[in-house]
This record gives sequence, structure tokens and C-alpha cells, in this order.
Amino acid sequence: MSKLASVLIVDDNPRCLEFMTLAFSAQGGVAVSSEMKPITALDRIRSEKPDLVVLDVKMPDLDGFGVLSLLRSEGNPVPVVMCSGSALQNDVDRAYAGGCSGYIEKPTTLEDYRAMAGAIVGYWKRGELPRH
Amino acid sequence: MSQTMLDTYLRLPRRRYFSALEWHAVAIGSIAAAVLIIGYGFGFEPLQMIIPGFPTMKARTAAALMALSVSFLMSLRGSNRSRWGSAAVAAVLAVLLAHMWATRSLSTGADAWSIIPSDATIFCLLIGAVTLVVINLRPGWSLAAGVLALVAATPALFRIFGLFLFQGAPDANSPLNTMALHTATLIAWFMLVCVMLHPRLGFGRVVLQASLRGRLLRRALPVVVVLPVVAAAISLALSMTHNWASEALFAVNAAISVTLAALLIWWLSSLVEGWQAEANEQASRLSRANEALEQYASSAAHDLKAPARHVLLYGELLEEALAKDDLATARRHARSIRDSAREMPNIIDGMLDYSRSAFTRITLSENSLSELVQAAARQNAGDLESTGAQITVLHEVRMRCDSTLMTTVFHNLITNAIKNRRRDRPLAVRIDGVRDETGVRISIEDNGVGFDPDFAVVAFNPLARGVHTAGEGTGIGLATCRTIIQSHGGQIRIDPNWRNGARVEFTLPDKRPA
Repeated sequence: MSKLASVLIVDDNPRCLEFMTLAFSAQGGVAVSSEMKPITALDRIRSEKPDLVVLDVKMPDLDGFGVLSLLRSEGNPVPVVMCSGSALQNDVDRAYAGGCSGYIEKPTTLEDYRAMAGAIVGYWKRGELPRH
Repeated sequence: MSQTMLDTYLRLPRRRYFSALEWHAVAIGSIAAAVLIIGYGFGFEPLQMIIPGFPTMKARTAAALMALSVSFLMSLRGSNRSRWGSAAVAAVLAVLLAHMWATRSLSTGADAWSIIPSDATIFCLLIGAVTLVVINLRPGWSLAAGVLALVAATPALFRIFGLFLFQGAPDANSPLNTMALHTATLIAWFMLVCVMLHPRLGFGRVVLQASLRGRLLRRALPVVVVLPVVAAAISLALSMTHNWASEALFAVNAAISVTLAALLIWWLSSLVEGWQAEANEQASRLSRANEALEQYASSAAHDLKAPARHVLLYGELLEEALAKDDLATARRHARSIRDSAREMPNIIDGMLDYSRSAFTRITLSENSLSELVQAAARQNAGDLESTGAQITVLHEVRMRCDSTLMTTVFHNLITNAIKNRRRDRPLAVRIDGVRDETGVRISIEDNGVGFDPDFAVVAFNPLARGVHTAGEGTGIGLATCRTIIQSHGGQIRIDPNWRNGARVEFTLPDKRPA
């Protein structure tokens, strides 16, 4: 049996965090933790070394692109899936150029939320979300 | 040209424009009537005997002028009937004047009504009548009507200036010399003011419209009219006091006209320069507004989608909970739906306030710090009372600013202080003002939880939001403050070294940068 996947979800909006946590927890075999402040999230990624980070794009203080570039500049290889309310092409390009492993637009139905979480965890388990 | 267009372009309301024209026409008609009555007494003993030296006008001239003003008044009415009526009056007058012209050498009568007006007068009145016929029957021929009106006014103007400049005799044999000054004045007045500014000709629209061209014309035209009169008055004074020859007077006149015209051009160019500076400022205001709009669009997309998405998702969760008869969870989800929906109007209002602050035109006035703070506190009165907060103004200063916008700044800053107050002690807000040679420096400090140092850096970005205030307000208040202070030429910042709560400082220069 594969090891428990630990996922850290970073989003400044408590409601988004609730949906994400619900969706990932529903997968089973996943240890979900969440963080609202991007600066604290950076520290936690460094210390807790999660298997997967799901990162909101628009956040106060430091946005998702900032978190991602700090991680990559430190040489941190953790797979990061960016998650945003609006998938503008510019943002998507910027995220992939910055070294993200995937970019998704936040779903609008619970079913899609579950499917999204299932897909991400599935990809990770099959090794399709390689470390950077 | 439709008359509704006038409303769009004119600086004056249409009604005022029309009534001004009506008053001019009535005045001209009335003066002609008065001269007729006083000069000829309608067959009674001429009143001129009673008022010696009162100017007379030939009875036919006065009657023709009255007919012209009646025709003009009718042409101002919108209906077709009055238009045809006006044209008919003018046409009959034109035929009578033409007949008078043709038979003028045959007239032998000696009573007032038999005296034929001078050739120049008949010519002016005839062309004036034809102009009114054209205006009424051929609305498209505005240029032709304008030229006709000028042709009718020109002999009268020559006569007026001739009388002014040469005391009536540049050429003693000219037919113009037979036209009396008051007749010439009434004809020139009627043609230039009433007919030339007739709404159907469109010249009035150009002069009175709120465009740059209209503004220049309104300033230049009166000067152009007054200019030769001033030159003439000066020459006249010289000819009377120094008995100068007409050649010398002509030279003086020309010199004065050229000097005054040069001054006029100089004045107009400085006016245009001022307007250009105004336009530049508007352009920079527009570019600020565009920047604000760009930020608005991207943050609106993000911020508005979030609560809408949440309402949908909690709705689904609510259905699932109800399907399982889990009422406690269902209640929690229903509350979340309400909370999410409640965020939307706040976000929209905040965004609109923000973008509006970038568009608003600034009206500067002298204001005292305490008055502005009081006005802002009145807007926050409910919250201030319920939290037992105290606001103190430490030093009074006077500042030049837009009072409405500056009240918004204080309102937003006080709102922030209330939101970020500490629950263990009553909120105290201290506002201070210091004046130096360049302007004033205002500080607002409170004893609340203060700004997160990380947040302080980005606090004025409309997308930024203090973490501890998440869910409360839209976080756009500080961005609005910055837009307002910047449009006053000042700067705003959060004091990063202030540890005992929050401290915001801003400057307001006395002179706004160009």
C-alpha cells in the first residue's frame, strides 16, 4: 500500500479552503492540511515537506506566483498545483513558466471539486506529478 | 438642423436662448414704434414738436422695421403655421419695398407716409425681408441666409462707423449719407443680433456651444465688435481736441486697431494655453482612472466570482445535508450561503467607490482639520457610539482640499480603526496636523491591533486585504484613500515603525503639481 499523500492547501479565503479540504479529504488516503497566510505557508512547506501543494493565485501580501518563485528559487521540488478563480491565459502561462505542475480553475460544483481532487491525487499516485 | 440639437450643444438652456432673441426683436420693434408715434403722432400734431430734437424716422422705415420684428418673432415659433406666417409677412414686406424702390422717383406726396426712405434704407430692409423668407422657407440654406443678413447689415454698419469716424461725411454724395444714425443702428442690431443668431442659421449654436471653438468665439467676438468702436472713439476725441486731418486720424485708427488686435490674439493664445493645461490635467486624470479601471476589472472578476461560486457550492452541500436529514449541518450551510451572498454588494460598492474616486473632479476649498474629522465621524456615528470609541484632534490646521473627498479619506481611516480595534480596551483615535512651508502633514493613529508589517507594504493595493479583517469590509478603503490623496498631489503611507496600534500619515501640498 502506498504511503499517505500529504497535501497542503494554501488559500486566503476560508470558504475556498473548506471546499478544498472537503474535496481532498473525500479521496481517502490523503492527509490534508490548510493554511491561509502565504508567508506562513512558505515556512510550513519548508518544514513539513508536504507531497503536494495546492496554491491559490490571488492572495494578499504574497500571491501564488510569489510563493511559487520563492520555492523554486530555493530549489524546492515539491509539485505545486495552482488554483485560481479565473484562469486568464496570462496567469496560466506565468504559472507554468514559474514551474508549477498544473493549473486549474476553481470548480463551481461539488462534483467537479471531488473530480478535481480525485484527478490530482490520482496523478500524484501514478507519478504523473513529478517533483520539479 | 433640428431644434432638439440645440439642447445638446448650447451652454444656455434653449428657452433662455430663445427668449433672449425674442427680447431683442421686441426691443427693436418697440423702438421703431416709439419713434413712429413720437415723430409723427399718427397724424396728430407731431410729438417731435413737444420733444425738440427727438430723432425721427421715416414712417415707412419704422413700419417696415416693426413688420420685420413681427416676422422674426413668428419665425422663432416651432409650428409650421407660424413659419409660413412669418414667411408671408416678410414676403409681402419685400414686395412692398421692391415696389417702393421701383416707384421712388414718382412719389410726390408731402405727408409722413408719402416720404420715401433713402435708397440705402430700402436696400437694407429689402434684403432683411428676403433673408427672413429664406430662413423660413429654405431651412437648409443657412449659409445663404447668413450672407444675406451680412449684406443687409453692411450699409448700416458703414453708416454707423462713417458717422463715428468721419462725422458722417467720408463721401458727401454717398447714398449712405441719407440714412439716419438710429435707423442704421436698428437695422444693424436686427441683422447682426436677431437674424445672424437665428437658431435655424446655426451660428448661434457654434458661438454658444460648450466647445473650445464656442468658448473662443464668445470671448473674441465682443472684443472684435468693440475694437473699432474704441479706435473710433479715440480718433474722434483726437479730431475734436487737436483738429487732426482725416489722413492722420486714419493712421491713428489703423495703429490702434492693429495694437488692440495683437493684444486680442495674445490674450486668446494665453486662454488657449490655460485650456490646454486643463486638458492635460484631464488626460492625466483619465489615465489614472483607466489604471484604476484596469485594476478594477481584474479584481472584480476574481472577487465577484468567489462569493457566487460559494453560494452554488454551499447550495449543493445544503441539498446533500437535507437528503441525509442532517439539519444542524444544513443550517450551517444555509448560514454560509447568506454570508457569501452578503459579501457581494459590499464588494461592488467598494469597487465603485474606488473607481469613482479616480474619476471625481477635485474642487478645492479651505477646510479645517476638525471640521473634516467631525463630518467623517458623523458618518461613522453608529459604530463609534456602539464601540465607545474616542476621536481627538490634537492640533488644528487649515488645509486646501476637496472637502467631500477628504471626508471620505477620514471616514475610511476611522472605519479601518474601528474594524481593527482591540476588544480589551476602548478605541482611541488621535488625529494630528502639522503645517510647514510646503503644505500640511496629517497623521491618524489608533490603539488597535495595528497593521501586519507584511500587509503594510501592499495595503494600498486594491486587491490587498488585511488577514485579520478577512470577511469584514472589502479592503478597498485604503486604495480609495491613496487615489484621493494622490489626486491632491500628496502621498499616503503606513508608519511601519509604529508599534502601539496603527498609524497612517499623509501629506497635502498647498500647491498641486501641474
